[in-house]
Amino acid sequence: MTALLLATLAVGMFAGWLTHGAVRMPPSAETALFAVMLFGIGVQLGRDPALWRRIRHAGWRMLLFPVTTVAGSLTGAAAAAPLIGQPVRDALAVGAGLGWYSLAAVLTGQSAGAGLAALAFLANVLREMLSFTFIPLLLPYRHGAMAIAIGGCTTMDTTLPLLHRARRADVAVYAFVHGVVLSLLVPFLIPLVLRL
Amino acid sequence: MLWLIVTFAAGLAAGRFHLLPAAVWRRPGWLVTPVVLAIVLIIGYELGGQPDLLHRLPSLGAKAVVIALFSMAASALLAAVTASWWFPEARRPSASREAGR
Repeated sequence: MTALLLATLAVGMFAGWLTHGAVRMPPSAETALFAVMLFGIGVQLGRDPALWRRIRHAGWRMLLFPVTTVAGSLTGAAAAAPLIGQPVRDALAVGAGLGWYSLAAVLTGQSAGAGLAALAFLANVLREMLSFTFIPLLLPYRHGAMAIAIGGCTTMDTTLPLLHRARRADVAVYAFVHGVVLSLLVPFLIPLVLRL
Repeated sequence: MLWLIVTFAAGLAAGRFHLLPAAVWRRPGWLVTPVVLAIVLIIGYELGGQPDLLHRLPSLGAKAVVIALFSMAASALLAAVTASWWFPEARRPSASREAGR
């Protein structure tokens, strides 16, 4: 999927370069696409009959991990801001994507322009790609919590199969709920940060 | 922000109560994947259509790497601290380990 995304991005960039960006998409079309995406992800979550049962069984402590992931991602992004010469607010908005690249790019693009959208997209795609590398390295050393945290939103879908290989069976359940809670938070977190 | 909640909640309800045609309900990825690709295509197009932004792509990539790594490292660190405070049972050696196997 990551290769397909990067290929699609390259095709889009080539088309834009070729036509000098002459074709302008109305903002309403982008919003409509975004709505369809959110709706589809809602369907994916809602159709899983075990979702709410898993959340109930896991108990309240499970919610600690999404909270620490949000706090860590925002802290890390803020710490990176002076190093890369980016305003803290912009870096925070990028970090608030938590690995959900499409949503991060759309939300930052609508409020802060194509430059920040590109940065948000790249940083969050990279987070997913790096998660594929680091999760298998952390799991054999019983660092399930760290492996879940680095995955961000992707722990409910793309990186879940990797986390499922952990020796502790509950890691996969924690990872799934972690991803779901973060996915519910991102649509609110990015606009909130951009209002700072 | 309200429309985000409404759209997402509508999706959850449609998935939960089977309000969609079976083909969509069984494979919602068919709905999501093309839309995600369309969004990425638009992002790429907008990026490609702005030569100044295109020239900044290498520096944007470097910045993206730094933000991604810092975010991941800080998240992992906090998660490790949380796990050691709130999940002490996860650190307990397993029975087979205690038995020296």
